[in-house]
Amino acid sequence: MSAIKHGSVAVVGGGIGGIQAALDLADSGFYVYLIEEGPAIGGRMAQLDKTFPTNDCAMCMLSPKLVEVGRHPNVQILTLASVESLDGQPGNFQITIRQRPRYVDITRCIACGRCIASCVYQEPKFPSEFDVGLGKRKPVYIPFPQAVPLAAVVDPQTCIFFKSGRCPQNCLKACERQALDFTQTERIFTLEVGAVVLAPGFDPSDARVVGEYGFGRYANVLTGPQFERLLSASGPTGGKVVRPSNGQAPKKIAFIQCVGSRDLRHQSYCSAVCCMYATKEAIVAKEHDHQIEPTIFYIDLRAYGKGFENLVKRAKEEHGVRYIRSMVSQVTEIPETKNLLIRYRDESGALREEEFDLVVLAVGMRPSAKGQELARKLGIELNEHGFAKTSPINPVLSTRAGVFVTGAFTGPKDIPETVIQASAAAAAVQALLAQARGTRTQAKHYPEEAVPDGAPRIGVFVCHCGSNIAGVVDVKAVAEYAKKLPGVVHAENVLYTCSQDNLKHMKEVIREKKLNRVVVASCTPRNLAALFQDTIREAGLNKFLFEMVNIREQCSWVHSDQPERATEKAKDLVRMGVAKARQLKPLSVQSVKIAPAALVIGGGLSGMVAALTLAENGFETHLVERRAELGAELQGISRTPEGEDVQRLRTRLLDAVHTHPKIRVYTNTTVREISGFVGNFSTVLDGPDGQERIQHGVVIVATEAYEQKPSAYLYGEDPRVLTQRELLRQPLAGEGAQSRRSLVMIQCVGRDEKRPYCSRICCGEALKNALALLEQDPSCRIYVLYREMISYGFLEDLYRQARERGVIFIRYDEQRPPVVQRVNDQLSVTVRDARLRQEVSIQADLVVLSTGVVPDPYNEELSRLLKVPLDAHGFFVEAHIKLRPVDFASSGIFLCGGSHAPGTISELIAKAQAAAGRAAIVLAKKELEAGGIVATVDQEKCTACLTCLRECPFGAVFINAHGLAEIEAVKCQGCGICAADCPAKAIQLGQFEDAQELSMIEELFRERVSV
Amino acid sequence: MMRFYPGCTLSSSARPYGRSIFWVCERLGIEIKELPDWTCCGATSAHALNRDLAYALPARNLAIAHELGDDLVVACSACYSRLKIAQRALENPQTRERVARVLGRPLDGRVQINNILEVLGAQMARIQKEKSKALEGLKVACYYGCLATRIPRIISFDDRENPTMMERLVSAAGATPIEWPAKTSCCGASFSVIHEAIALKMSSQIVEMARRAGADVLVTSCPFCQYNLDWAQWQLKQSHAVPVLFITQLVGLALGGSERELMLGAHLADLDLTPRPPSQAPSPLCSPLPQRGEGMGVRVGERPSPCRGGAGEG
Repeated sequence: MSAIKHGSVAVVGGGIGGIQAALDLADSGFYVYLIEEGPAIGGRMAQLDKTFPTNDCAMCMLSPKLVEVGRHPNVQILTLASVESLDGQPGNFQITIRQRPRYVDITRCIACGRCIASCVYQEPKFPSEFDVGLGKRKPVYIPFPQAVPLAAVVDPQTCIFFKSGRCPQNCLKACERQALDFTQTERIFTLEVGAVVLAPGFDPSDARVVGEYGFGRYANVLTGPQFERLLSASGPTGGKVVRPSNGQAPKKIAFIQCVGSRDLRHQSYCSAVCCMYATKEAIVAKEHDHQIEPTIFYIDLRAYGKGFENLVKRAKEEHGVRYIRSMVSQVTEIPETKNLLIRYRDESGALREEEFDLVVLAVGMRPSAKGQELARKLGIELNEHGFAKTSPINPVLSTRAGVFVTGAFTGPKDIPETVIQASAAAAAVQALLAQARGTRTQAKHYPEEAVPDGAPRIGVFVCHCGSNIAGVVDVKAVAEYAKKLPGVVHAENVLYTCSQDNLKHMKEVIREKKLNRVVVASCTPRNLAALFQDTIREAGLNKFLFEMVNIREQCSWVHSDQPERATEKAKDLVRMGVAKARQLKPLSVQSVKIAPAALVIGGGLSGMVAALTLAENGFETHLVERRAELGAELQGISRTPEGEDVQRLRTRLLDAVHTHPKIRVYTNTTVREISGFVGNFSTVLDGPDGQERIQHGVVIVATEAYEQKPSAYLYGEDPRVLTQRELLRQPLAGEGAQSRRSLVMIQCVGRDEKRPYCSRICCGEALKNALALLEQDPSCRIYVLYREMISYGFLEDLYRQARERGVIFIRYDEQRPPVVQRVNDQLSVTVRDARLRQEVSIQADLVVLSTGVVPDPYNEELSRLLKVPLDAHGFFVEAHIKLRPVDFASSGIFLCGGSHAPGTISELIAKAQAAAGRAAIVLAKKELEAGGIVATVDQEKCTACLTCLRECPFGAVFINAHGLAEIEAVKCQGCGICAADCPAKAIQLGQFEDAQELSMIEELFRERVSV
Repeated sequence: MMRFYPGCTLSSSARPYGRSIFWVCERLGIEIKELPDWTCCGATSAHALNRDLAYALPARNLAIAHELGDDLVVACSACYSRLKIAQRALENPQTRERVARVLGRPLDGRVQINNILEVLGAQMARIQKEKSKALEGLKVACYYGCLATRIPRIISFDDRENPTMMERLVSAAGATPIEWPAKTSCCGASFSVIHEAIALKMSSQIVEMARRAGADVLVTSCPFCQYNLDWAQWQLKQSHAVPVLFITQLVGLALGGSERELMLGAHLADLDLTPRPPSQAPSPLCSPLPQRGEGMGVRVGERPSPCRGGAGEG
């Protein structure tokens, strides 16, 4: 470990994992180099249409993160870049980067698309990587509409100029910004960083190697990722599901699962996400076209995550998706129609043949080839499947110190697990480089803010955007029009408002003409509003005295065929913007000091890991446990499914937690009350020595989930019927040991309408225990009675090993569960084998029940105390199931452990590290900004009807000493729900006040002022 | 010079295959001589009864070839697969010792075993150059049968599920190979002897698929496959039969062989090699054939259209 600690980090990979890690680190005081192989960040998530289990739009969720990364002052995005080598030690690394030329200057490119339109290739000709080969692109292209950085790129492999040297280069001439630069060359440079996070992602399995399905031969056989592009509105067919052979809509679509996965010829593991993504694609396809009849052919339906079971139920019941448990051995193309013929066995065992219009192969995840190359260069070990090798009890640490690995690079997983691992890696980096926090980041200094007085003096800047806007809208006329609007003292045209010289010019105009409001009419605020706000702040104006009017995406781009009407619309929009500007008020932003300590509620595995992570980051942590000792739920477990010694882990954690100077442990203690808000919580603890009040800045809820005690199958009536945990605590031999010649394990015990969810860990536990029993006594006969075998990811290897060692797996239907009886003191288990369609009777020495887990009943109390929501099953509801799995919607409160959802020990450790990392971001800030676009309650008008309090998703509303509603600015996220719903119109949202919004609407319907 | 292992059928029921192989090899300057003292490979019978017998029978032939120091070329898919499997088994020293004792001779399985398709494939350029127009316009369905490229645990000489060696040979010979879905389906093999109904169903389905895909003729590299597909049509007395030729017969025709030299008169179903009018919807493969790494769908190998050059959009 080096004494030098650079306060900067290299994050390799610009997918959702890399983005999350980059944001976490940048927000907590580290400078991040985000190194992306391709021309834009976004990764595989950008190629999805929707995400399971909520079927939210993927780009809608991802795009704000892309924008945030793109404009974060502490993140530098390096595209077309790859890592050459890594030297040095943790804290002091030298990372060498090779950056390929884009041939476009991204500081000049405005993504207008003229270079693409003017390319000598009239039609796009080359398979588009983003559209997975379905769509086509030209040699010069923009990766996708929401790409960050939003700029064109030239592909030298297909560009005529590079291939032959002879091209008229229309693109060069067409660009009005002189942004194309064919003289760019490759750069190799070295950066100093303190740590490295690798998030290179995965590659989809190659469907061609499973040749019997005809991918690449038969036109109407597609892969899941390709189908996703067909469903996407930004895809090659604009979201229309069509058959490639004739462009017609398909009626019957077959999904074939496990293509390339669970297959000893290719990947033996389970790719963990395909059952769910096929379910999602089937539902979404049906939503696009009600005629579509999807059928999913599968082996086991692995719906093990939070909300997964629900989606599958809806697919079956609401959307009529057909699930057929039969693996398909071959797809045959019918020559005349190009339809596909599939043969399968139905539930009754009969062989059937069915014709489909389209077949989608649910391909799995392979380790990223580029990632493996990276591993080789950096000296990182890979596991037997080719993914980054990690320890189950340290899931984001690679085999090289200071280099962390996350996401699909460590194994197949979905987006929430990836985001969790990314935050966990960021937490580990924060701990490693804690003392270097803030040393490489820059704080900006602004001049004193002038207080605006008198009447509004509005400056309007109407952008040409080259010819993007000016080519359709008569921008000169719009500027002339603006001059005559009330309140406007300056209006002009600018060729590119976003250019450096114009920004300088704007500041000069603000000073000269003493402007106190600024309106920019140009492109989407998504892109550049923050830039302009920053600019006027640099000129001494409050940054909220700014309004942006979109006359590009919402005008010139969509009305390019009607220039006169587009010009009129632009005038309307500017008039509306100016009207609002007249009403704009400066908004103030205060700094609130935070208490740099954390409260962790729950002293199980997750609580201990979270506390340690926070402590390693240098923060005081109060670890509160209501039981007498920490880690109680780990007792009796000997090994994780991967084989790690759990008791040794428990001992180590206990030692570390009890001896760390920054951790205070409270056992036999509960939380009596919590008040305050993010940065400033005040909590009363109730312990054996009385009550104590502590101040802290964040809360982490870390309660666990517990094995449920069953009430069926003779449990409690016969000592030979045990739960899986109880089995582990049984002595193996000698006194008290029971014969286990014949052992029957029953899965999914206790699952009913009231508790329908899959507990995720039980199949893995059963497999691990079965294999352990066979190790000790190879002659014992083990039967596992199951509904679906949930051995996702690398657990699939355990399933295969169990079968190889002679464990007998019997599948039973949900409607016909097994029956356990005692006959002449012999336990007998009868079950209908769903495959044989026959009853099987087993004489058992022991019956072992997998009962699933239930959340800690204490969660109800915590939910009330913290004002955070629980779902129908008693698990806490996170801020967003995909992208914010360890945050609560209320700022400053985080969650992990079984209270969020069941997980394996390895998964829980990552979740706890992630929650601690996210909490550390808050604590690292020392001060929080409160104010700006927040809502305020007019105390005169408030009647304390409690509407806003109940509606606020973030718990920002409280009843103050006067008995009236008040909004905690620090917690307010500016969503506006309270303002919209207040019956007394007592609430206003800053920057979107009623007067401001109404003025825009009134202007729109007023008579036009003609020029 | 290579040693040709004919197996039982190529000198008897599939003599046209044996004859045409020799004709084509001579024509192309490939020197082959029959393996002396060769004996039966065991085919399905041996491995259904006794594992060591199933190794010993082909191993004997491998021993002969090894002692002569020559490579083998094999045409029959069953013989080819048995020889390959035996060779793999002999890599295990205990197996090798045991089988050597059975045969009473030292064994060394290290012999290069070539499939006839590989040998012809090496002559692709020459076939392309010297072919006549005899096959022009003929649409050919290439049928590999289930075994040639899909021997379990043995590396195949071509893509297992979608082999294209024959298609390329057919193309080189001046005919048009067609895309069709049954090229590696099973013809029923020995069921045509022991349970006719099964083989009849399986073979006739294959022929039907070829017909629907627009084939004028079927071509195959396995004698049992040829027999079954031919016999099935003859049994069912189908009008407008799709003739089933051996690959070497087809290639031989292109290289100037006569019907007599290539024994084209020995087929069961009627032989009519005139191309049918394109009334069904055939799907001829574009040339070049699909490569891995190209887009999706059947129509691959599209070249970008020539650029406009000169006055572009300004």
